[in-house]
Amino acid sequence: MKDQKNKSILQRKRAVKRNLQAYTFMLPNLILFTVCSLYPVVWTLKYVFYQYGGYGTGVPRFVGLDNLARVFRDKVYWESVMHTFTYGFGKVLIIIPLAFFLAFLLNGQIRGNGVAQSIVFLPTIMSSAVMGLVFYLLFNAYNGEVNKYLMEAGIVTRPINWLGKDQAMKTLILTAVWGGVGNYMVYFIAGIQQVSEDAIESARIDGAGRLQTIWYIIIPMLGPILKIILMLAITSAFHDITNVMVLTEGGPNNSTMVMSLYGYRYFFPISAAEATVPQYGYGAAVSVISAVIAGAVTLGYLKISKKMDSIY
Amino acid sequence: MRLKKIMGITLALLMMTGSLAGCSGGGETNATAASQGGETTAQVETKQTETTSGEKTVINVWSKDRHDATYAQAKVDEYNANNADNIQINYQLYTDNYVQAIDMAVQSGELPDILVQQDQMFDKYVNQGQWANLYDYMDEDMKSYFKSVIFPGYNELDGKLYFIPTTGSTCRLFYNKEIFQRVGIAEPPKILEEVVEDARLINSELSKEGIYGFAENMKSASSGLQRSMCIGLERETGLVRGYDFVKGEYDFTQWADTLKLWKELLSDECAFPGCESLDIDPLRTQFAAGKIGMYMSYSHAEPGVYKNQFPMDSSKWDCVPIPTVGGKVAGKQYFTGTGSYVINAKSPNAEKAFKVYKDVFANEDYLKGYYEGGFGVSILQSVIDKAKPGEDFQKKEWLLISDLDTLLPKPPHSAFASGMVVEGEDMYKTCESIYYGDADIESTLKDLTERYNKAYKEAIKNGTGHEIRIENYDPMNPTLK
Amino acid sequence: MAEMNRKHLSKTAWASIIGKWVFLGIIIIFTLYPVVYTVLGSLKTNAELTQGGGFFPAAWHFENYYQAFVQADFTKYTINSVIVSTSVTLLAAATCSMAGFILARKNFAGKKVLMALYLSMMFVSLGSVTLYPIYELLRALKLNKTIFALIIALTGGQAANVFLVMGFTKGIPRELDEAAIIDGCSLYGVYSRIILPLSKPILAVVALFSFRNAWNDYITSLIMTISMPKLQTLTVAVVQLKYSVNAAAEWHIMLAGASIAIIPILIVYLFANKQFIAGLTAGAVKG
Repeated sequence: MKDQKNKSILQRKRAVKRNLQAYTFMLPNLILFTVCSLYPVVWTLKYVFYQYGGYGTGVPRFVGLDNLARVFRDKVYWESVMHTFTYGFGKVLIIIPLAFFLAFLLNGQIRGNGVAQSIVFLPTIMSSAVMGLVFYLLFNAYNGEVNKYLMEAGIVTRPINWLGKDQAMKTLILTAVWGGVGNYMVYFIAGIQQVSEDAIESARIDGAGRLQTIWYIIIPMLGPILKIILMLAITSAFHDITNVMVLTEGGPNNSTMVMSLYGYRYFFPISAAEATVPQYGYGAAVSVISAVIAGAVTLGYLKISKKMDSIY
Repeated sequence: MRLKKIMGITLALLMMTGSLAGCSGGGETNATAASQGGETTAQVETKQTETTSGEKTVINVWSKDRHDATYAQAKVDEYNANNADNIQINYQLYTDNYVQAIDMAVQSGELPDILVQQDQMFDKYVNQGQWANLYDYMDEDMKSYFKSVIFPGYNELDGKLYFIPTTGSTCRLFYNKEIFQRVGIAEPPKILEEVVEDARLINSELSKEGIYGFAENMKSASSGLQRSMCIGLERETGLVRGYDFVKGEYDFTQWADTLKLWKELLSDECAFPGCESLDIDPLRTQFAAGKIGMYMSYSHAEPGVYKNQFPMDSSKWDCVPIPTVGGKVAGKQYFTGTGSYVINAKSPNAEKAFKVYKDVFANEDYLKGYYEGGFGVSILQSVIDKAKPGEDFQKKEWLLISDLDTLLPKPPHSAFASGMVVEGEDMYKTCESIYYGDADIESTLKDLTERYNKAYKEAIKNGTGHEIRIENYDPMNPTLK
Repeated sequence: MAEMNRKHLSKTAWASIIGKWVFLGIIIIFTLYPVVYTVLGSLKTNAELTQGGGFFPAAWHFENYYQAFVQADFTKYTINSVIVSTSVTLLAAATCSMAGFILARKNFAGKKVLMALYLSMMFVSLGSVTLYPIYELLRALKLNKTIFALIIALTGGQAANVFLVMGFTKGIPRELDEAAIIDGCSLYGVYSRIILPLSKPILAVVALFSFRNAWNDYITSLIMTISMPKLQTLTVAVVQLKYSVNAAAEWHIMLAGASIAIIPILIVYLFANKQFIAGLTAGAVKG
């Protein structure tokens, strides 16, 4: 009896010690996680229900579901959601085929491939803010290099307004492709390397041409990894904000306003020239709805890709 | 290999703090370790400032103005080198996010001793006693010297004086005389229709050379419109940013005629390409390079800009009042005091800060040099009498403040900005949807009017705002209260 | 196989090789042009940049860098960037390594709840608006006046990296731990002698990407230093140059600033491009 009791006390002591030990290992990360992930999410969820203009504007006022209702009435917000989709799909539609093609060309141990890979991957290590500034200089209508070349070459006579209402989104997508294609190329190379050489070889022997090999062997075998790559591309496109902020500031006439930047706008001024009055509660509501939309797209994508599997 | 070493050391350090935490009860130790770390850097920082400044009192000044930064900095340096009070002024320029930086500084107790006054930050914190009452420090001489620029309801509230404007600004249409001559425009435009016509003429004749009729810094609609269209509208409609002080309500529908013309003005037929993504400074470089026929901006900055920042021959440009539709005039236009500073009432050095303010920024030599250097148009008679302003001010009559320009009362959305929540886009962005979008003018302005009035009424109902109405308000002779 | 092919290249094969490199040439120019423009532009005069000039600078104006470092205070921002990026790198690698190890190897009270929380935070993405509450919290902890606020905010919750390290650690045979324990190693001993050395590859990935993100970050650094300009990092300082005195007349300084911000990471990339590329796949396959 006594022995057993001692044993259980000992066990409990050991358990306590084990837990303490475990938490000392967890603690540094746990602090960071609480401060930077958990707390802000809880804070944001709370302020969805308040109207608050920040320090010096009185106490936050509870408004119930008003902020959420306002999001659903907010035309500009839903336009920004549409822009997010345009931007996201535009980016994905260009970047994925291009990245795949580059991966196909640069896969394998042929001289020059390694260097070319490194160059194509280069933009992904650079600051999208700094490069946004550079692109702003390159693309501005009145003395940007791009127009200068086009006009010298006689392709256009009047400067193209790259950051104007009709072109801004295209320019933005172009710069996003520049910054992202290397990333997806590397994913594809990793994927192609997993497709066994034997399969490709046997297809060749069967007399399949290059395109046929790609279409009938490589792409189907890439299936699973393609799914992951597409998902990464879609979700990351939904979160792009820095390049938009620096290059176009969401304008002109909100034509490049994406939903992440729209929420940001109610917290911090997008541009130096703008004197915004913060609306933290409404900004929180916008961000929560945006997160839900992004989540729904991801889930929807997963569902569809599963259905596609069963069709195959 | 090196990476491994560094990692090992860091981990060992972390483990040490971690295991300490294990014995003495959790997060507390860790938190203190962190805050100790924080203090050490703070100490290092103060040490650094101490070593550079000896035992001097440091007075921090924040400014938002870049056009006069070089002048102010030179004066500050001079003062730092010569003053006998052992004071060191630290002049900091915040061109970006000025209001936001102040918000954060107020919260963290980092607010400097002296700040360049700006409406939004002033209104936000004046009721919390953040700004010092200058009357407390001013002697009789100083009070009488600045008597002419004290306006109850503007800088004097309930018998307390918070800031003293020394220069003034309003908005004008700037134009390139050379370009006008080349295309045969004899007179600068007097009505808004002429602005459109002239811009179209310049574009059609000179766009091959890269010279265009009209430009405005429309990257930010609010920044662009507040120095241009909104000013003309004040004279044209007698409303202040769409607010009718007689009726006590907003009415943007009166903006329709002007907006129609602005839409033409910003179209490819009239405008400099890329106005949509233009900030004011790039616009000025292009104007100085002779690429732009006309633009509208604040009157106080341009002479200094074309003298120092982007050199342009003074004889090549001039300015006129911003034209209205058909030359209609129903009111006065915006004028604001500039060159004003507020003093942080909660600063431990408030008294010394006032001394600095008085000796540097409110000093007559400073003000004279400021006016002469073309950084602002003086509104103090004694400075105007003594100064020899640059040729710009002698030859260009509309650079001076005229009887078109006057202080206007504040409409609700700026009187209690954070208390009045307008759903949807503000008036500037809404205008953008008209001139850069396909929004229908009539219905959009009607909707805008409804949204502003609704927000105003709700602010009153919630107690976050109050009714603003001025008895016997006359737009041609506005009163502040 | 490839050797054999090369000897018997047919005309169509030649055409396809030429086609490949023409296409790649275009892509490479497209990729490199903005970078080369930045670096070469940083050595031009403003007039060359804004009013037209050759591809190469007419004369090499290295004094632009002097101006950027001295007059535009870039020395200070560079130091800030170095401090912030290395601190973030070390903090991220260290905390992830410890947390990943314990989650992979030990059971403890509340582990399931923690894992669920970490996992859910990976999917809840509220974006940059969370910087406001983080700033507020750090202000309440009186950290906002120091560079620690930025370091903490930039390091972030690290949930994804914790899972990455956890997954990697799970792949290390448990027998090694057990052997060490029999040899008398404590939990810490197992971690430092067995797991840490063996998880070097994955920690290098975490470190490399943390460094890249910290060095390149704009928004977090902007917000965290908004009232303390002397703590600004290079990226923030470069973008702010756009609004500085004379910005429109100083494109050359802007580009010199941009070069100062991108050249260090370019050098890192020159030596570690294989690791970057390999690391990306390691992250993606797990993620």
